[in-house]
Parts: sequence; structure tokens; C-alpha cells
Amino acid sequence: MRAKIFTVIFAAVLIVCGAASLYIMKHKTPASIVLIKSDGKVVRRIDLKAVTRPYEFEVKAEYGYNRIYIDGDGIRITDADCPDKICIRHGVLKSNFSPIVCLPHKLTVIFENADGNIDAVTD
Amino acid sequence: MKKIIFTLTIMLFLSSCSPINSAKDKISADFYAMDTPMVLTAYGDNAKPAIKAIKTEIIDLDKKFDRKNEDGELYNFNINGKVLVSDDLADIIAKSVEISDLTGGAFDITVSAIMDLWGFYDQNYTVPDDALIQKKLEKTGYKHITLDGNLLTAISMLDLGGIAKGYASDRAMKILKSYGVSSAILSLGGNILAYGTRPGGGYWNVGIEDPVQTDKVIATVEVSDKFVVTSGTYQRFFEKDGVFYHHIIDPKTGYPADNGLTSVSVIADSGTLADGLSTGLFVMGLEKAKEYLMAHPEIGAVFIDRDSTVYYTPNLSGVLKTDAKKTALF
Repeated sequence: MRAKIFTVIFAAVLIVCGAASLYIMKHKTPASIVLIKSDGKVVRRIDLKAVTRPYEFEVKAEYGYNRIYIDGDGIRITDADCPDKICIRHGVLKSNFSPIVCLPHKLTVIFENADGNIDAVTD
Repeated sequence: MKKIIFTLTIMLFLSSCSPINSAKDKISADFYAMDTPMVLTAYGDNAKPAIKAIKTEIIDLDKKFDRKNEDGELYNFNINGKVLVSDDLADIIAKSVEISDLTGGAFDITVSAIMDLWGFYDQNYTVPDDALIQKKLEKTGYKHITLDGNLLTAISMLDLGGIAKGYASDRAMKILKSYGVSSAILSLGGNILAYGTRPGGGYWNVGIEDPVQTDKVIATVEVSDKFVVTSGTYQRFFEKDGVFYHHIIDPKTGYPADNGLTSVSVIADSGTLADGLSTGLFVMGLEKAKEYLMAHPEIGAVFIDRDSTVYYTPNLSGVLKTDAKKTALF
């Protein structure tokens, strides 16, 4: 009898744990943590969900500066002294398929977590 | 009841173990080299020393192959035109010439002089005078490259930007093998090496960037131990007087290849070949590329045209997924 009760409790625990882990895996919160990397090193980590009012800051490196602006629409580069300004024209960071990259300044703005079940993107 | 418990235990194990383990065993490095971001990720035992060795190798190759690096070999060669070069530089030049032969000159590392005219290197974009292009064309062409052992001679400047990342990814694969790594995904500026299997098992899922909406993928391919490389018009371009000019120059005309394609992705067993072919097949255009691919069934390729139609080689039919309109190439 005791063994039977133990078995039932064990089965119940397994069901709850299994269901919980499946739920967590399938309901991952969308990416909101953004990493700003300078030459491969993380210099800022920003939770876009925690942003209550727009603000901006500069990332300065030996190569030059990039001005980064964050508001309710997301994160983007608004000014930089790089020659091509591709990072500014990129606009708001929308997905990791297309991180904001400033090649001359070796700066990357990217979501911390990868999108979906795609492991890498060729471009 | 025992059967139920067993089944549930397996379910619990499967549902919870792989993401946690893969995260714990994951080693990543990202840095800039070869004028582009590199993201290296490997899993499991030996992942850390393997990634470190790959990073060192890429930086070393970059120094040798970068034509702008005044301390580098290629820079030195482009000034002198006749130099005894290292085995690495001789090897990549030899492989580049092989791919030029394979593609009938559609891929050509001497096209850099023309690229310079268009301003694709320094972003000083301009539409060059046709007479200037024709004059430069006289002094370009891979047939002018000679390699006698390690003695390299050419009448034109060389640029390895269209093949160096692929070559480096081949080296990366050798390093992964030597360290016994079983699972790694590397992006050398968008040149992908999908090595072994995903940490939880199964194929790697590689997305192909949408040439129109570049924050999305237009298709995915499931691969293992393959190199996936793309050349697209959207990577570097400018518009002047309402005309769109992109950076994939046809070495025969000196003008951007204008054949209705917007991107070509190549899936192959060699990174060097995939890199060179992605440019070469783009320049060849759909029909000539089709002939080449029919004769080389081991190569996979995905073409996207201006209407966002996806053309693919039949060997990808089971692994290519897309919501776009798609057609088998043959």
C-alpha cells in the first residue's frame, strides 16, 4: 500500500515537473535583453522592457564613437563618426538575423538570446 | 504503472536536459577580423581550447591576407608584384585560381582594381567612367597570376575578400576535428560552418537572409558538416540617379552583375569552394550556374531573384524550407 502511494506521488511529481519544463521551453519570453559589444567585449547590457523613458549614451573606443538611443520603439544608433554611417541607416534593432554592426568601430548591438530554432544566418 | 513512470521519466529527461546541458557546455567567442564580425560557438569537451585555437588561426590568416595591412604579406605583394610568399598565401591563391577556372573566370581575385574604381572598398561610391573601366580591365584577369612554387607573380593587385573567410573556415574545421569537438556552429562574417550535430542531436538549421527584408530569413536549410556561404546584392550597394549598383562585379565587364539575382547561397563540403562559388555562380547567372551545378551534384545552391522566388538544387529538396515561391533548378 505504502509503495503504491509512493508510486502515485512520484508519478504526480514527474507529471508536474515535465509539464512545467515543457511550458517554460515553449513560452520563452521574447528577446528583450540587448548586448552592446565593442570589439567582441560586452560594454553594456540593457533590458529594453525596463526602459521607462528615452535616453541615450555614447560608446567610445579607440576607433571612434557611436551614439546609442533607446526608447519605446527599441534601440538604434543615431550618430557616429564612422565613414560609412551604415550603423545609423540600419535603424532600430529588430532581430538577431540582422544585428546592428558598425564595422569601422567594431561595435555590435545584438539581442542576448538567439531567435527561434535557427542556429545561424548566412548573409 | 511502471511503464507510465518509465515513460514520464524519459519525457522529463528529454524535455529538460538538453537546453540546460547545451548552455552549460557552450563556449563562444566573438571578435572582429577580416573586416567583419566573427561568432564562434562550440559545445562539449575541448570546446574552449578549440575556439581559442580557431580565433588565433583566423587572426593570423587575416594578417597575411589583408591587402590593407602594411605588415601583411598580401600588402607587400601588391606593392612589388613578384614575391616569394608563405605556404598559406600560395595555397589560397592556388585555390582561388582553381575556382576561377571552374567558373570560367566568373570568380576572380584580380577584380579588386575595378572594385576600387567603384569605391566599394572605401565607401566612396561613384559610377566610374567607362573608358577607365575598360583600361583597368586590360590589366586584370586571373590568367595573369603565376605561381611557381611559392613565387607569386601578377600584373594586377589581388584581393582575397571573396575567399579568405571560406578558407579560414576550412582551417577552423580542421582544428575542430583535431580537438575532437563534435558540435560547433561558426559564423565568419555570415560564412557559416555547421559542424557535427546540434548539442541536443540533429541537423543545424541555417537561415538564408531575405535580400529584401534583411531582418528576416527567406529560407532555412538543415545541414551537418557543411559550409553555407551567401553572396548578395544587399551586402554593399549604392544608388545614383535612381540606378542601383551593387558590389558583385562581373570580372569580364567591370560592371555589377545584372542578371535578376539578388542572392546566391552555396552549401558545400569546402568553405573555400563555397565562398568562391557563391560569387562565381552569382556572376554566371541562373542558366550558366545551372549547367555547372548539374555537372557537380555534390554542391547545393539556393538562388533568390528580384521577385523573391527561391530556386534550389534538387539535392536540397528534403532540407530546404521556405514560405516563398520555390522552384527546383533542374
